[in-house]
Amino acid sequence: MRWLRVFALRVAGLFAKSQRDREFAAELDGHLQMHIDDNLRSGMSAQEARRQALLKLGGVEPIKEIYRERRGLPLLETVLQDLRYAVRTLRKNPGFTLIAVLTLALGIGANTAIFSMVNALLLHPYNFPELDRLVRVWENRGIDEGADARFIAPQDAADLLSGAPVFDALTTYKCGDFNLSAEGNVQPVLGCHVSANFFDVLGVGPALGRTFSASEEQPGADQVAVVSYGFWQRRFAGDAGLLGKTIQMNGKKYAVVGIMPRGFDYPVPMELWVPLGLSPSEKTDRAKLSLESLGRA
Amino acid sequence: MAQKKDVWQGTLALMVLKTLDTLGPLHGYGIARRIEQTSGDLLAVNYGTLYPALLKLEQEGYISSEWGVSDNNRKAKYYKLTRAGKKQLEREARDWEQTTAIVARFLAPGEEVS
Repeated sequence: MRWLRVFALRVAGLFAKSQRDREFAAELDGHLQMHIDDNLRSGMSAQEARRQALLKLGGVEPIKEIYRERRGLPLLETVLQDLRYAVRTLRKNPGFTLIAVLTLALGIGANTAIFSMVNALLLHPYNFPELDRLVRVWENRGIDEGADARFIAPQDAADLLSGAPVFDALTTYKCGDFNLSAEGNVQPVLGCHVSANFFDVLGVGPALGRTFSASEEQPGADQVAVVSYGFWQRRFAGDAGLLGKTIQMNGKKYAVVGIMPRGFDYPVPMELWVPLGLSPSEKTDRAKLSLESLGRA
Repeated sequence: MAQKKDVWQGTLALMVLKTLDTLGPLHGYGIARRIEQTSGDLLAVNYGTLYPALLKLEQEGYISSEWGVSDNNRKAKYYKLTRAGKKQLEREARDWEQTTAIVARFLAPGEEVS
């Protein structure tokens, strides 16, 4: 650990330089005087004594310079000096500085934006099992409003599974805002109504508790909720006692039955999921494109 | 007058430590004179190496320094061997003896190395 002590002392040597310089100058001066004294004692003339002592001592400035190098950290000092010079130069040319900073900012910003997209889409796509067998299913009725508005009617979704089914399984869901009442105030949270097999189709199980059973799809039995890891951490500080508690949303009470593993927030960053709970008439609806759908081929 | 030899690298620290061990607290000038005298004036101590060497030994904690007054009333910085310095002196002296012994064995005439 001796090198650590040396390093610390050399860092300390970067400070109070003029005082340290004065101290060393005094030390060298004392050295010279003692040498002159000795020379005088051996019988030299005052002038000769001084001359000989100065000759022996040699160049004082080079000695001081070598001493300074040992005292501090020359490399660090040079770097600091360069930095100071750079800052001064930049301050003298504000126009150039502005353009340079803007160029860097835009460059870094654009790169970050592109990288986060590539990162999400190419490097870290959803890590559901057998992702290549998972497909989004929607009806094309001649108007395509883009990837965010691709829906299917409930009865049409059901038909896809009857007869000669194309899919092993199909799940439907409908997402939107929920108003979560907590401690007297109401906060909007993003959530989805999902059919009971939603998590099975995605192939992801809960981290704690359970997901929905088929019976909970019945209206009336659907007052249960599964929440995301983030929801659990942010709003309940990871309290394991959340399971079995009820939360109040849209004026209804939901019992929290499950917590999903970290990172699961399908389809877009979602905080919770509740059963779809369609009424019999809604189930047979073929007119309204009310649901989104995922199939596992 | 024959050209005096400079103190070679690495041995200066050993000489400084030994000098302080023998003579007790001493200033830079005294250390230099002592080394030159002990060598029978065959060595010349370069002050550009002596003072940085003293500083290095102090940074390493082998010696400590304190301002004082010399015999003829000059202000001087006195260097003193620390406990760690005493140990280091023993270590370096041992290393040096070993090295010289090895070199001596190479230079010894007539002996076969088996």
